[in-house]
Amino acid sequence: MSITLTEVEHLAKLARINLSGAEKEKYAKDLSAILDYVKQLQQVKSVQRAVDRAEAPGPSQWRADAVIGTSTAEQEELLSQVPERSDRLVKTKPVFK
Amino acid sequence: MSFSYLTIKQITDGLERKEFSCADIVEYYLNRIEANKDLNAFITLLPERALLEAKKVDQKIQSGQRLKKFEGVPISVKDIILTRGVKATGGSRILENYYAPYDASVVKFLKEEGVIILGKTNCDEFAMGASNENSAFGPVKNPWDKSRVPGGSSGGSAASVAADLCAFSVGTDTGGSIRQPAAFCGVTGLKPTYARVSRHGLMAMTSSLDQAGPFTRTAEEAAQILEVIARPDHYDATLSPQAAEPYSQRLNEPVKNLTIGLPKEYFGNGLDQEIKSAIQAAVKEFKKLGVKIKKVSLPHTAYSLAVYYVILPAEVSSNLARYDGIRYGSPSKAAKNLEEFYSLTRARGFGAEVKRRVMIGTFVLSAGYQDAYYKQALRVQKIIQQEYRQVFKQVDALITPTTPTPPFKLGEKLNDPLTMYLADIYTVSANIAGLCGLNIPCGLTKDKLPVGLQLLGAPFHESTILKLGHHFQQATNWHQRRPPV
Repeated sequence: MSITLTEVEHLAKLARINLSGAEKEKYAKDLSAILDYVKQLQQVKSVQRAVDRAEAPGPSQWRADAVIGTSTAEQEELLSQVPERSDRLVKTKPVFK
Repeated sequence: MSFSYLTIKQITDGLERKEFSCADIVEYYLNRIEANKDLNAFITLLPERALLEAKKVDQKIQSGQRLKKFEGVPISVKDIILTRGVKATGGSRILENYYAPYDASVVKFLKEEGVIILGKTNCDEFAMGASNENSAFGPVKNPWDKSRVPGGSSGGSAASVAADLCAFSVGTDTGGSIRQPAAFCGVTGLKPTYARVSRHGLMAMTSSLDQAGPFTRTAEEAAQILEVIARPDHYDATLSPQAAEPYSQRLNEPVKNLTIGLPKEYFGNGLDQEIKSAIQAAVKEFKKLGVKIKKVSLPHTAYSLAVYYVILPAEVSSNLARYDGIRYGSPSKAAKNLEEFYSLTRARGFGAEVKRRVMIGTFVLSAGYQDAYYKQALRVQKIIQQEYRQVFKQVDALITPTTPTPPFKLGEKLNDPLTMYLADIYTVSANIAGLCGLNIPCGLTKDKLPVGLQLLGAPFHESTILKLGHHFQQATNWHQRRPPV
């Protein structure tokens, strides 16, 4: 399977990763080789349909669906990691133009 | 007295009998770490904190109080596992200034038993790699030969135990990241069954496969540590309700009624001859212990690596979406709008392998390809699981080589991701099929490089592989061979 430069650009856009021209060329080559390798899975025929259903047993234990809450000190500890903040708010670039 | 390569028991006994102080032993390891700085095994060191804790342990001993199971035992922890108030980079530049706000449950359980954490060990970025060369903080070197890789992703943890920089270490294994570096560095490494040990506080890479486990000098120590870290934890809803066993009490049960399978698929083309001979010699040793050997076949196991390299990137692309530089992490300063902020922050913060896997994951989950790649991988995973389940009806454990080759040279596979992926060919099946696995040293090559043997057990049968590993280590001394550092 050959991945084109345009496809790499599209994947990078979906993945929110800015790539340089050299990186795009390298990833086109790498991704093609890796996808060629994993394509062998498509040869496996004797596959039961049942697997398509969600078969996971689900969590073995549920927690109560309740808000535990955090102390002001805990909140401050988490907020101290925020690169850009305004008082107790997280600051970002505008979402809407 | 010499502190060289003390076991956990020698440390706790020595402290109780006041043969040395806890500060002495912590200082010994800190000096070893300093003297072996070129191995680059640690990302963060905690010397002041460790010495302070050691003094508290010494006061406790002086006042005649009893010590807890691992009280005063100095350990290292892989940097992908959170320890409260300490920097946690996960080997990534995007978290170069991140401080963990809480303890991972494995860390919490070990702290409750009194361990002293000396530092956070180097690893491949977010645990993605088989050589530790994908760390943003430089590669770790193999203590047996510094021109070679220690394996990955928990390379720093393996090297820190092999070079006697701590008593034991905790790492994580998603496709071999405990067993493969343990093999390359000549130490014991246990990957418990998925759902055996809480994943709370592990930076999520592949949530359906990640599992934490110990690096130790012996299988006996791995059993003692598993007893502590396999505690119930309501922070991990996928944890098994099945209670852990008293693993260390079961180590001395007889093994002569057990049957070990040799899967022929693990001994074919691509296996290094010296490794093959070492494994064959080890199999003879197991026969001497009275274990029965049976040849078995797992025809679909060859697909495990391909399954792994679809499921893993798929989960990675989703799990790593959280690293956007807004709530924590190191953001790009150059961005003009939000879209650019994300893509420049991630471009700057992620290394080459992480970007590669995020993009493969994005591809295999995309609308047009999800069925052919991701869903097909899940279907084949099911077949592999069923195949192993059938084989474990005939045998109690499997023996395989842990790696197809001895540790390779730094840089040797760095530019060829697919060749690098093949380093995990013998370890990924345990994760894909939901098994437990143990690496034990079983030989040295003529270049004096360690060879690792892998014992695979049925889900939640850790006691079987630990018991077999323990009996082997009672009969041989490969686990006591030391690197020239």
